Amino acid sequence: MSSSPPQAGKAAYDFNGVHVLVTGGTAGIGLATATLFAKSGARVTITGTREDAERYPEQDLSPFEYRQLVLTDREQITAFCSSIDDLDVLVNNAGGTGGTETPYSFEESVQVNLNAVWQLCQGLLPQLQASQLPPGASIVNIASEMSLFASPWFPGYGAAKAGVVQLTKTLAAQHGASGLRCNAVLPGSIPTKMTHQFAEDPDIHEAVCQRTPQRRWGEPAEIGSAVLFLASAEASFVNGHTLVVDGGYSITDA
Amino acid sequence: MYDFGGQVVLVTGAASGIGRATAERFHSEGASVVLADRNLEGVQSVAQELGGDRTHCLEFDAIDRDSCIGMVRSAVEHFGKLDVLCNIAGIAGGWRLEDMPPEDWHRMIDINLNSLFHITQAAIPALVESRGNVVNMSSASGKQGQPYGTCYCASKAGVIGFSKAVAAEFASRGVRSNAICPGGVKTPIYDNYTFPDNAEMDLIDRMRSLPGFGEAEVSDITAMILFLASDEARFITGVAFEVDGGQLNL
Repeated sequence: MSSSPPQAGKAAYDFNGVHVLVTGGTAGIGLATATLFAKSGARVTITGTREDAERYPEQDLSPFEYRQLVLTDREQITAFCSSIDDLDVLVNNAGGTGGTETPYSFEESVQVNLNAVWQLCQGLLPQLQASQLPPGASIVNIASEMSLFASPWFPGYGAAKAGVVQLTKTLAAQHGASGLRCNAVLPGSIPTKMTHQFAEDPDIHEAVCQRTPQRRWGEPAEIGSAVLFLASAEASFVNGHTLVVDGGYSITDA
Repeated sequence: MYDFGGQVVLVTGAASGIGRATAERFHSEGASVVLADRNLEGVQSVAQELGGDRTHCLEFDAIDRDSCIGMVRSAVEHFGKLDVLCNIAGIAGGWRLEDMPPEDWHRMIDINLNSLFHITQAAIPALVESRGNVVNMSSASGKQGQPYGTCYCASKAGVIGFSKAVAAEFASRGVRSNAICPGGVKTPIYDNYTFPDNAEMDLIDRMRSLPGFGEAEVSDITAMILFLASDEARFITGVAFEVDGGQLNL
């Protein structure tokens, strides 16, 4: 047995010369994904809801170009898309529930988690189609365990995330012939800003571990490594797939 | 790209097609590889091309339980451990349901599905020891219905079920298990696939006209296998990974 446990995010993918956009890249899965891309040589743009990167003093965002993007603001999304000159990989990671204190309404949830994803894919299509990336440009959407399972909370979030899986397939079918691929990663339970109140509740934390065959929560980098794989030339024939990264949580699901 | 240095990988069906390419790719990424096949000369020539001392060739017959078990034992014994098991050996072919001889049905189920039981059962103690993983070769046929494919589809759907159940049963002991579902790859199996006489070709053409059908290169499949077998996929278990260019979506 090796002395240190195996880690995700060690593969030597080559993203030199590649421009990657990760929405919601200031924390959690988005930050982990952006970090892995940057380590693999990519030029990485991230977005966050705050005005500038200095307003995230808790994080070192210096490896990235930072752009403000608020997904409830359709006009801002349109302007944002027009301002991007070139793009090879789009990671639609931003989204969320709004939290239990101030949960999004159904309409807000669908706007942030589904409509905005659609708008970004459409708005950035010309740049992605102009990409000279050898295996073709690609989109990776972050779905959710709520794409598969019902929860008693956040009905809009679950409906929107189920929609992301279907949107991923539709985009794959629409644009496959032009060499643009579209896939999704479906994370299991990952401790992040969005899930911290569940991760930090001992009962919920333990219940997730019990239900997960691997008996633990995942790590943001384990999602990021799946995103990098799907965006890489290694996955040049993978299109329309939703890759479940959940330690087996959904095995017992149909 | 990945670091499989110091790891031992067992690949069944390694004399040709996806199995051969998988053995070659693992070897190029630093692994020691056991190449198992019905065709011993075939794997010996692959090993000769790879050169060096990180290969070991074994003959086995997937239809025979004792042969499967003996092969796994020899494999584990040779390099002293096992980190990755790739169940790739398999056969394909189409029959009309009305005409399919039971012996052909049983032969295909034995090779494509039952051998996974024999091989994985024999290998699981070593995989638990190494906290290793299994990659099983299913097919788009394991998810979709294909005309004249009653047996092939059933066998490959069985592979997905087997693979997921192994994942569920062994996750807590550190072993992962995943399946891959290619949608028509340029290999001898694909080239030699036979349809029954007077097959309704419009049924087949409907399937073959799906975007991506039969366009996968072997390297597209081996890339998935290596990713799933690597530490990059350490939180991925129980999935049936489509590598089909999108055809199952339509």
